[in-house]
Amino acid sequence: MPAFLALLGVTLVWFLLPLIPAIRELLRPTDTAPLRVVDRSSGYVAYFARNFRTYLDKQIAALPAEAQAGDYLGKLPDGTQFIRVHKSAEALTHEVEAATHNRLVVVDAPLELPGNEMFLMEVYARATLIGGPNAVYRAIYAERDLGLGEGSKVLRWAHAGGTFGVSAHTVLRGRVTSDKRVVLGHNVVFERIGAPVISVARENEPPPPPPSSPKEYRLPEGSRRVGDHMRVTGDLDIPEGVRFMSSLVVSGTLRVGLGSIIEGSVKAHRDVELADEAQVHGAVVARRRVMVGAAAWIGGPVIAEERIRLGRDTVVGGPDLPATVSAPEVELANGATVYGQISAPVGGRTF
Amino acid sequence: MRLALLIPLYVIVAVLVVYTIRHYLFTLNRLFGRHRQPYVDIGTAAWPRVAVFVPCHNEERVVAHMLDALLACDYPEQQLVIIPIDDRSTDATGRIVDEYATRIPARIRPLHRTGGKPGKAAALKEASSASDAPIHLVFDADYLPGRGLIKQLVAPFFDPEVGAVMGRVVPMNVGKSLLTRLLDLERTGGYQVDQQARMNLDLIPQYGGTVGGVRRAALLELGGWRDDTLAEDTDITFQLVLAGWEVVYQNRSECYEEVPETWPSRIRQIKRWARGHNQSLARYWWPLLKRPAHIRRRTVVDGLLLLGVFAVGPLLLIGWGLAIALYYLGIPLSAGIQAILVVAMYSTLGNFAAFFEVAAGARLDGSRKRILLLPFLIVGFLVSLVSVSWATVAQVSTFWRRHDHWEKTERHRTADQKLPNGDA
Repeated sequence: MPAFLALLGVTLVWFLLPLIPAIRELLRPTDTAPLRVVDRSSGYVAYFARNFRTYLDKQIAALPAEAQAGDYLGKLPDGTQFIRVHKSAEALTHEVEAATHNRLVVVDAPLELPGNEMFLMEVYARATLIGGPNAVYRAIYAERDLGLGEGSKVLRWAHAGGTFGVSAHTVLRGRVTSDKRVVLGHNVVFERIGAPVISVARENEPPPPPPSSPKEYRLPEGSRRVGDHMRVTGDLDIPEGVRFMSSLVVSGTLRVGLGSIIEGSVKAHRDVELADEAQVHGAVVARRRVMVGAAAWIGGPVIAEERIRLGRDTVVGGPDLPATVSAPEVELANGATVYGQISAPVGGRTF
Repeated sequence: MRLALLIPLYVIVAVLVVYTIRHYLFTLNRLFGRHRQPYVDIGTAAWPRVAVFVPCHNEERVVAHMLDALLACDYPEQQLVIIPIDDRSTDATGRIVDEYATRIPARIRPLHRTGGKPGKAAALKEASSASDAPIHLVFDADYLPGRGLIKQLVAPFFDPEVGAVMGRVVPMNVGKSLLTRLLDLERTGGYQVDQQARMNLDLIPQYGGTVGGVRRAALLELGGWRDDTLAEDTDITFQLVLAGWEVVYQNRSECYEEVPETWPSRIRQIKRWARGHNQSLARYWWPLLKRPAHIRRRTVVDGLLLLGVFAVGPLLLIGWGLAIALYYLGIPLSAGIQAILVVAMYSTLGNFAAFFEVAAGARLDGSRKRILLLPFLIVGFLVSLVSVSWATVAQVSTFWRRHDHWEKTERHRTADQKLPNGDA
């Protein structure tokens, strides 16, 4: 009997041994809070910029009176080193060697920087800030206009209350936003941009309605209606100069001819190719790529799971019709204009 | 005698092996595959009109929280109408929603049901005609949506093929008991891994009846919500897929829910799910197997496995019974050592791939400690196994009864309870 009890005891201990962490967590819980995932508003494109602005307002309000005005070098209440540039950039340039700034910079007056600076902390500009060439910024918040010189680099985010001009060959990591407009130069690399108007060089508006109504396009036989849209099996080529009055889902590749108009939304399980001056009044969705020619117009969001290329002077959305362009990779040609937001987490570029 | 026991056992083991492979496939996809979330970055758009339906039956403890959360959403006010459906409540639910409607008549338009068929499906069927908004979202009354959730759930509907959208459910009362902690783990596996893997693999993510919605045009095409089912969510999922619509899952569209805090409440909930899901199995396995031209073969396989998830419990119990019977009758397994190993592993361990799925989900969520409770999931697993089997047997034995009884999930929240506020 004792031998049996001993064996039973050893067996029980052997069984319970791997359960010790579980039993401990059960008796003394250490991880019982709900997952902090709900209302993760970090998806909002200006999230970091707005948070920074709120943070800085609180910090500056808590500074002593002598630090509230004029040039000032010191610490914020949370210990962050900062410099206030009140009158001219000289306060900034006198302070460091090799143009590397490791303090948070607050600029009170309009400022034009010579270039080649490296800001390791955020820059906050109360007035217009024009950066010089080849500067590197961790992050910038400008209350008014903001300009980045050629070959500059933003590492985390940048926001302008006014017009945000980005010169050629600039790299914009993270999020770039403006309350008015973002104007991109050539060969600019970006990830996420949000503004009422985003354009490459020149800004375009949606085209006016055509003077005469194009003839109506009839789908090939075998297509069928599903709810409020038509479904076509295989590839579909819509010829030039026609109008289609419904939404459309194509199981292959969809090609829309020169100047043709789709009154609804379109989706292709492969690619969507819109020729020059084609129009889609709703959204454009593709499982692979969306390739858009010159001077085309898309009224709704453009979504692709691989790549989107917007041709010269193509417009997405409109002044009263905000829209999003979203794909892992996005390419924008000269004159391409998006009213709303662009998301290209793998990489976007202008050409 | 020997074959009569062996053949069913081998069939059951084969079915379980298929489910095991499915679990591992989904988990490996989530750990190493491409994460597909094409609509998650649509943050700016001309947002369409939306009606949010909140079915409520005796929800006085939670409905005000729900309405407050919906009113705080960042969706354009003029585009959003909230329709609480007071479904024959006998507590203060009707009065509470009326007070909200009096204060904010343009945005809250309650619908009071005093008769008709009981249950969520019937309530939705009746209420859906109250709005011509192109998008109908549905939330249970105990849910707490975040500010941006409505936009996130509406975004996929810009895709003209999307008929329904499902968001992710996250338990908020995790620390209440062992049960709530186990349900938290289960939800992690179910959403973070299972649903998202189906989305990644372009299979059939399931519309779950809450934290999601349907396109009105699709609903009209299908003839509206079916009220002769306990699982209108599974039902509409398969109706949509069969009709050529797409159902999508948005893993980043998270919403807090209150999970059952007591075992009896949990047992009632899972029995209701099992009965409803099995109704869908009976209705849609054959139409799915016939494979309409627009549905791919792998989608059919996934659909059949999804339909059969609540049939696995009874099968497992039968398999265990058969294995025990074979052992005591002294009948050897004749198909060699591999078969013995397969049956032995199955009989002793069950399908542990689901545990792998939960562990991977917790890893993806970045939860370091709660995963320590994983071994206790066997408790929840056994309770579910028995409950689901019991419900299935009862359902089969009363299959001629046309209307199932709706059993509401008990709420535990108190009026002064501190609510989670996400990353605020």
